Amino acid sequence: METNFIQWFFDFIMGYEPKVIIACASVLGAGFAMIAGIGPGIGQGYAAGKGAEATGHSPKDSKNIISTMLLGAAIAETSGILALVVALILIFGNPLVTSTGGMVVIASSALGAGIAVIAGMGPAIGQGYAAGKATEAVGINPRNSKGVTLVMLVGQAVAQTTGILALVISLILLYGNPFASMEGAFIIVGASALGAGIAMIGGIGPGIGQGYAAGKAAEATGKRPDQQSNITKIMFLGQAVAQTTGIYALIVSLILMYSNPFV
Amino acid sequence: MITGIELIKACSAIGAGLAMIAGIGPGIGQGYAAGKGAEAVGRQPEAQGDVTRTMLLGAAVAETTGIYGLIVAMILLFANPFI
Repeated sequence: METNFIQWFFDFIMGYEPKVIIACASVLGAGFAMIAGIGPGIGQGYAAGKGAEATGHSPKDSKNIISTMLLGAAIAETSGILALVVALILIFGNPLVTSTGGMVVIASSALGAGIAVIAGMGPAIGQGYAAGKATEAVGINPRNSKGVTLVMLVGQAVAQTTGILALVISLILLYGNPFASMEGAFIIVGASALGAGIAMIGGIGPGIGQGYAAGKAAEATGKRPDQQSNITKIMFLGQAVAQTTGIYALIVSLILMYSNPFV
Repeated sequence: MITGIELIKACSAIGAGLAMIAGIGPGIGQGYAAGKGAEAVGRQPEAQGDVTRTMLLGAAVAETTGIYGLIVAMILLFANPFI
């Protein structure tokens, strides 16, 4: 029954010009990419909440509070903008439209490129949390704002990693697609392209976790500025461990691309 | 027989819908900000103006990705280069 449906689906799409199916996959991919916007929304909203709370506690420090909040929120925006860029490439500058290669493979790549950047949701949530915690710490003790902001930024930078890895996979699928020249049954190569994109969604976890670590480190630095280097060290150590599953996702994606055992 | 243009339009409609899923984020985030704003005003009613300003500023930043999703959805619906 299942097989019949898949057969029917491919018979259905094979009835169309390749550019129609690739356009369909591109608009769907663009839609998927924008789901990443969930992240900045949550993260920046958390930062805004912490900003409002801190301003309520000490209205006289509102300038310091707002600048930390906005700085942190700006970093949390990154993944949302990356997703927007990928969506706009898929819609307006899609290099796959003129690509050579099987229709199903190219269409799957467009879909995969959009789905991969959903990973940006994670870093953005985590970075927003870090921004909120740093804002809170600055509100409690504005004198420590320099150290707190520094720890926040360093932690946020690490939390961005999986978002960047997802972007790289997405751009490879768009501009340096190894599937287009891959020998093998179109359904296997196409599904591998889709899988390479889907795997990167795993980056959501490390992004959130590393951002949480960055937030707690910023908070701790606010309380004990003299311990800044120790705090940063532990944060890095924990973040490195939290990164592992993001790297696993990348490895699977790269295996599907460059040493696929199925083809 | 469904024509090519019809199929692209159908997929664009789905894509526009998918793009709007992004709205989950700003909703949660801004709601949190609103809650914290209300809490802060309750604790310090005299700082209401400052609190509201900070809350709205932060919430405006949190709105951006929702707007990006909306823009992509609108492009797919009204300025779709594939149709």
